Amino acid sequence: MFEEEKVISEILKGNLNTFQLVVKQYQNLVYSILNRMLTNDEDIEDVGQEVFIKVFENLKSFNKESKLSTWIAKITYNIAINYLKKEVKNKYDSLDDNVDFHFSSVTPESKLIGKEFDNYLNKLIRELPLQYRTVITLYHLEELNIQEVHKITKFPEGTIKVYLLRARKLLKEKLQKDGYP
Amino acid sequence: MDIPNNKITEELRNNNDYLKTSEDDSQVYDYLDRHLEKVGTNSFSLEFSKNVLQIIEIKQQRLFKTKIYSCAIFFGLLAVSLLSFLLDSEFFMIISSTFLKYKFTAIFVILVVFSIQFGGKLMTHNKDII
Repeated sequence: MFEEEKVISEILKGNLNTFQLVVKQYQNLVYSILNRMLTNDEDIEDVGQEVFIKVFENLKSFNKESKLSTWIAKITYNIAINYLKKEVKNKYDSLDDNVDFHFSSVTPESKLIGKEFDNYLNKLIRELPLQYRTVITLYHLEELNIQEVHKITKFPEGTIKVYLLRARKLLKEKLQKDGYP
Repeated sequence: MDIPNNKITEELRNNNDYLKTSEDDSQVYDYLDRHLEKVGTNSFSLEFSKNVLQIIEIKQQRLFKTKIYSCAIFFGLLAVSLLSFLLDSEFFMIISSTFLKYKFTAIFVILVVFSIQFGGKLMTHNKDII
């Protein structure tokens, strides 16, 4: 059983080995966020390391106002955004309602199931504009609610709802077109 | 409204807006939600946590060394300037004779400080192993 407070106090006392428990506990969460936000697979491991180093260095400032997982998700999001900023000139894609968004992925020849479908879905999410990609990833992972997504991204709650609605609709339409479920 | 079933609150349930979704759509949404909430089985490499700890350790060592070197440089400079100032003065003679008089006490104090430091390090090391 992962006892958050005990583990944090041990790490703050200087017991570095205990930090391994935090890494093991939250590495899947960090990976899932990065996997959906970054488009280059090779960078995920490096950015993931950067995330956990940041978590370690800033653990003293964790004020327990939110869950540790929300705090780590926030750090992951910020580092991923900074990383993407270096890659693309503009932080966010311009989202114009009048411009139709189309997925570039072609419909698979046969119906995918299990892990193959998950990979296909991740590919579709990665094609979404960054704002959509971000909110849909955070909202659906670790059961974050709108308020928690707002704390992490600083998007207004209304905007988050709109992004979620649009992102889910785009994915739904694509899946319907592909013949799912 | 396109809200995942497990996130529909009581308030929303009373206000039947979410029921406006057609049956076909809600089927696809349910299917989509099940997959979106899955934290994938893919993850970092097996060595990931070990690598993170190694990087942190290297960073801490580098920081510690920097602090030690800065202290050494600071005290070295201080000692050199003090020595150059006192070398020819009578004051230096007084200091050195006092030190010689109490040399065993001074050595004892230094040894005690070193043993406390060493003991502390040994205890932390054993705790880490446990």
